[in-house]
Amino acid sequence: MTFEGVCHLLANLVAYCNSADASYDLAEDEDFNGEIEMSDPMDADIGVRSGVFDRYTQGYATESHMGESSSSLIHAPISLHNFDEADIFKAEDNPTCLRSRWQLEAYLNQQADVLEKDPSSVPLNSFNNTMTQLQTLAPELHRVQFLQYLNALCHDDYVASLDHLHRYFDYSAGMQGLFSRSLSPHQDNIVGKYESALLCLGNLHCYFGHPKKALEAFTEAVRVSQMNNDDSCLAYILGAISNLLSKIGISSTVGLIGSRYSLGNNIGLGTPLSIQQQLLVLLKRSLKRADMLKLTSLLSFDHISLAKFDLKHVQRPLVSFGPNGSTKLRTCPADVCKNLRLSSHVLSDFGTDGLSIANDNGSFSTSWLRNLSDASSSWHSSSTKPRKLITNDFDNFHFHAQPSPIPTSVLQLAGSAYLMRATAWEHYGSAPMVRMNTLVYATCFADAASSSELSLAYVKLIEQLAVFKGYSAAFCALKLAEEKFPSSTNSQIHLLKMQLLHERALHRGHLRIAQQICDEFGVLSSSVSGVDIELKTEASLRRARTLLAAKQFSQAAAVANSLFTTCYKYNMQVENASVLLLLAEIHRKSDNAVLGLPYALASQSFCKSFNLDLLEASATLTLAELWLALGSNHAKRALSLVYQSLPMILGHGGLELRARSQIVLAKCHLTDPEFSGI
Amino acid sequence: LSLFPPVRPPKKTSPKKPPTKQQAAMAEEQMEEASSSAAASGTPFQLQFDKPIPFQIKLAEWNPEKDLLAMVTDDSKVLLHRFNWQRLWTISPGKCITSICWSPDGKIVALGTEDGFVLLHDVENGKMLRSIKSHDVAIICLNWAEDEPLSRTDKEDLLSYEDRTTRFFPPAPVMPRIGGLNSGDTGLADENEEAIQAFSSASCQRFNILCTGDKDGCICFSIFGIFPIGKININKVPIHVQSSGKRTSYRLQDVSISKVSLSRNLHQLVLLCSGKLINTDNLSLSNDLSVGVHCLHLDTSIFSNRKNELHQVSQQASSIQDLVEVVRASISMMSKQWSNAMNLFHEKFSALPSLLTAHGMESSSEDEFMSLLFGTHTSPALHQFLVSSLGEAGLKRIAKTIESAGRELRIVVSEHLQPAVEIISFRLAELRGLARWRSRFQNIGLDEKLMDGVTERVGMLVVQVERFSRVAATVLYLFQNFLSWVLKCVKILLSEPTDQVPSTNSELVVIFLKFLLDKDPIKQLLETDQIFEWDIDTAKHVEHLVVFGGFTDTKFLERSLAKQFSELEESLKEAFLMPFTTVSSQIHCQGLLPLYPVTSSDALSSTSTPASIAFYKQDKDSQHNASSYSSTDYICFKIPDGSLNLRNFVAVIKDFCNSCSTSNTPSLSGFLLHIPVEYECVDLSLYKDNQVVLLLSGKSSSENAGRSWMVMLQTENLSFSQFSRTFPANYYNLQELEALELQLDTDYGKVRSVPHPLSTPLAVSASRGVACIFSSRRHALVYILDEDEDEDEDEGSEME
Repeated sequence: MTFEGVCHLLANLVAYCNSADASYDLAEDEDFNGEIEMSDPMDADIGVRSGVFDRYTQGYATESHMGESSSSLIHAPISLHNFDEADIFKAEDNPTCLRSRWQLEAYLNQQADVLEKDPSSVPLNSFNNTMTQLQTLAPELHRVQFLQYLNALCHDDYVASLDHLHRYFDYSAGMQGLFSRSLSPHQDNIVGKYESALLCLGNLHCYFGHPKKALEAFTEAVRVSQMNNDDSCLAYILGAISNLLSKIGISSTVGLIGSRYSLGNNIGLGTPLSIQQQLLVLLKRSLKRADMLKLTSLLSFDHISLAKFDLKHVQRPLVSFGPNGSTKLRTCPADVCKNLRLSSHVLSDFGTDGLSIANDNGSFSTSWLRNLSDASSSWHSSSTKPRKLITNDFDNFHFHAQPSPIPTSVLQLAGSAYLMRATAWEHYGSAPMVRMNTLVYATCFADAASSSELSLAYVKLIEQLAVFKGYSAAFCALKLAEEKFPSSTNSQIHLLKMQLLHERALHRGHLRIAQQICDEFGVLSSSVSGVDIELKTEASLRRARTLLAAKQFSQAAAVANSLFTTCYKYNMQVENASVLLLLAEIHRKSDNAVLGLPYALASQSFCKSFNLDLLEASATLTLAELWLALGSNHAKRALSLVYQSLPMILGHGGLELRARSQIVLAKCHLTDPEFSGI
Repeated sequence: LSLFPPVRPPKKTSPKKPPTKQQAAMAEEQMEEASSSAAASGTPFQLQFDKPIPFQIKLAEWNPEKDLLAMVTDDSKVLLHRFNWQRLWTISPGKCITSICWSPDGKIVALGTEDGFVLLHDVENGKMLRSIKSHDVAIICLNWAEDEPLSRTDKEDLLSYEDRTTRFFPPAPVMPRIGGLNSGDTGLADENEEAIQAFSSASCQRFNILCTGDKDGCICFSIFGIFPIGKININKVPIHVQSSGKRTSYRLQDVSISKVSLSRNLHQLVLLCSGKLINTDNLSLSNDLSVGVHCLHLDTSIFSNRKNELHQVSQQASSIQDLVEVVRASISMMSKQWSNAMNLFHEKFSALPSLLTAHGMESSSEDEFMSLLFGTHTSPALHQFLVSSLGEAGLKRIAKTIESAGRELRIVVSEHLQPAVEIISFRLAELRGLARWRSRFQNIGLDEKLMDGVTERVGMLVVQVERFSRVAATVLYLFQNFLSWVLKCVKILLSEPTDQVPSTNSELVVIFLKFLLDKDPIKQLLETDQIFEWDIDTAKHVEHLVVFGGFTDTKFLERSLAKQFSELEESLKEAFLMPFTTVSSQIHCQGLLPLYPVTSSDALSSTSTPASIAFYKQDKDSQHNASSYSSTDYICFKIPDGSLNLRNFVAVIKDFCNSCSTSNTPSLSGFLLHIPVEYECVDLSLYKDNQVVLLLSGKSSSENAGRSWMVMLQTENLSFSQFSRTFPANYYNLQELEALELQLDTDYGKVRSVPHPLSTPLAVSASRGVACIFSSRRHALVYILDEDEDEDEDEGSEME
């Protein structure tokens, strides 16, 4: 909708609001999905990238309100009366064209979409002004409050967002609960909204990094929804708690004891469990409930979360008695794959249950209006085209394709499965699969994705470029990406730039630059407020590598050792593997091969149990180098190790690793006294 | 002529008087009698049993691992019998079967057909696992050789390659099952499903290669019997013969292969073929005599030298091909299901336009529905259509059909199509990784560029699948919405309560009327010949992605899903053809030995001349070092009467391969065996421990008609005489060999008379030490060749 459209809308608002039926018929949709699914793809990226992800997560929340419009049942929508394109054209041109409240809802939805897609493009104050204006004109449109809450959230305004959230639930008392799936909405609305409010509150706290407060809110929400037999809300709350746990389980040491206690009491976990186990239990319960209640979006979210869990954790049986309790100390990649496949069912299952039929809410007519000019022009042009082309009206690659009835949240969930796959393959070591999955995401889901998710996909692509095509190509692409995602707040791209610069500096031996960037990383990670542990580990990993490049072995070893203890403390096993490998490398470079061997072996075994194939191959390569350093009589063993690692390294390793492996191979041959050409 | 050398004193007892024909008719008695007499007199080859069979048996082969005998009847039925003659299954593949052999593990029986197909059947139930068309003409001979373990030891073992797929993926998807209404070939789908699973598990074994030779002189090699890895045409193979320092090139023409055998270290291949030998240097030298049966030695060391690499590649590639089949089946099934549903829908809804014209109205059905939607009016035509011609029941039927088609589509996409494409892409990525190891994989033709191309294509296919599933979800949703709206309208028109009908979205109804009533976007995506329009924004987006390492082929969105799939197939074919041609080009002819000339009149029958080729492990004390495994080849064949002026002769030759390669190896040697004149050799076979089993049948003219002999000779006890190959002066010099007289009366070796006229085939099993022979009177007789047969005998499988 154009700017004139907005003005026009405002001008005619009063009339419409008066004309509209005041009783809100609540849309029944799993509106809350968005709120919950916020975390997935970012957290999926376990790698080195920072916790700035949280920033975007809330963005999702907005999309939830797509379907939640309080549509008044106007039977013959005005704009639809004359569906014919030409007529609509006229209507568009005609300034006196009136808009129903129905369209107003659509406008709000659209704004929510914009907020969700690219929060930085919405200026905090002017948006607030518009909303306030709307609110004065249509006081019964409480969703305006919610939009304001989202806006504040996106701009990190804690006080304002809390305020708007409160106001939203206060004003809309009993009218606009988030869960009204039950058959008799009016009864439930009165009680159904309190837990929803608590859920929102919990998410708010979670977003601002107050795990304790968030848990309090969630616990209360669990209590209330249990009291009210609000099963779907309970399922969502479980999902939200598991999301919270997966965050703080890694990054926070505070508040766990208290939370465990309260969780144990309320959710019925009798025995204290480790955070991971709690997470698993919660996820499984949430999954079960979602499955039972046919909440497809939540189901998909839970599957993704489970996949994420499986990727990094060994699933141990909760109870194992006696010798029969087999303990398989490996992660199970097939489970990850299964979960991801199940989670993509959300797209195909959409609409099958018949529950999620959206009521008329004007969103389609709005997008028609949006696309109208383009559509009509190209309709004419396409008819004269000489080539025999077919337009598939539902193809998302076709611009004036019809608006899809599939909610954005569903598309995003389906898309996150692909991003998650890419992340999983980063771990398991299959470069073409990373690229392919990311590309599928960037191609198919670009229309639905939020800017943060999309930029994550681009970050992955650029990383691939850097590793496989060299730095110049990567920087080229990075420049484009920076243009595409211009927002200064997009720290993902920023981080990537720093990473690439650091790598390149190390690669070229520009130690001073490397040191500078390392310092920058240090600054990023040293800030007190809720910095992700992953950023911290990355900063010290890079510091150790810089020190190693500067041949300050003892210092590098000290940094790496402390990093190891940190990772160990937070149970970051996957990171441990690379730290151990770094330690082995440090010892090798300091001509202390004997000391390096145990580290390399430990790293190798870590990799084996977490199925980190590529890392394992490079650990094997390091091992070969260490053996080689021990003398020429070990050349045969080294050679066999190199041969072992070659298929993996050649297939999935980057340019640098491949080159290294060839050098080691050559060295093996040269040191082997028996070698005489093949 | 010398007789058998007096190594063993002749036995005193004369052969047991054969039982009379009346006795022979009574199988049970016969068996008892035979066994008791065998015990009493020490007659060799105890008769296990004698059973009548109601068929004329054409081919028979013992399973190398189990006590199973597969037989092919004259009318091309395949029977599988146990050792106790219990029949396990019978199948009739409906094609003329010309050859049979077992896989080395005994789990699959391979059949060669007259029209060039290789059919692989499961031993358990006879179900067809695979049918592969590798030849154009009849497949005359099959040979399935397994790599001998321990043949290579040190270096190669380091290359322990793990197929990661099983670790990272749940079991691969199978062919979609056709459920619901139209299930013309449900059974077939069922079979294939199990089949593929059986294969994927079977292919994790030791490396093995199936060789097939056809009537036109082509030999095909396929790894695990399923992945074609090479094909050579003997007609085009140059044969270089080194004789007295001069190199002469020959070529064979009009070749028909009668026998192939791959050595167990996969190093060499010996084949017998008939054809015309031509001197390519001097074409005039060829004469009538040059038409004959020749023995060729091909160097297949590529198989043994690169077996690890071939194993890996074929393992990945054959599973990729399986999955490609799954994708193909999925696409065709989806298109079938959907078009069925759409046909019903259009059939029902096409009544409306004609009703409209009947009522003299000019509006389209879209207009009518639209006015119904906006509540302006319901025209009588529409009213009639909805209430009477469509009706509530008809509407519900349509809704149900479309819903079930939609469910089918969803299941196929999520359970078959998507997983299959995912695993294909993973396996291709692994193959691409292997292709990068040029020093190992380039010489078997795994090309990095081609693999890159395929990987690219499969990525696009994933995009297309995603696009399809999205379009399908949307369309199905719209259908659901529209149909429940129509149902509601019908109910309103009939003044029935509408509270049971789910609520509908009127906007989506409009979209449906506008874009789906007479279009079918799902079908468009499932057809190959569609080109899609796409807008500038998407084009920009895709081109933009190229900078980030996206698909370089930016036009791929123009294609439909089916088109993209066929492109993937093409590039896969191209990529896998490369190893095929590369490996084929590395198989060379190493040596040629013309055996005997055939006149053109009996050239036709030459293929059916009994012959047998086998490789036996060489003794340890040979000059080869212990680590490299070498084998000696034995070729045994009957010389057709009249050829080389010999009658009733059987020739045994050994060390043909070895004599071709280097000079210091044992040279070619052999002997001729003269069969007593009143008998003729029906069939022969090499048997374990360098033995020859001959089947002699009395000639009908002689008084011995109806009486036959089974003879087992220990070739080591016979004197091999060396003979030289003097090209080109004399093509055929088998006559030079020493001829030995076979005398049945002397009762040398193991001889047993059989009271029936015998016919082909003779099936011997080295692992079990049994032989099955067939009388012309439709009896099968099983004899124990070795009383103390060795279970774990790993030498020479039986040869026909």
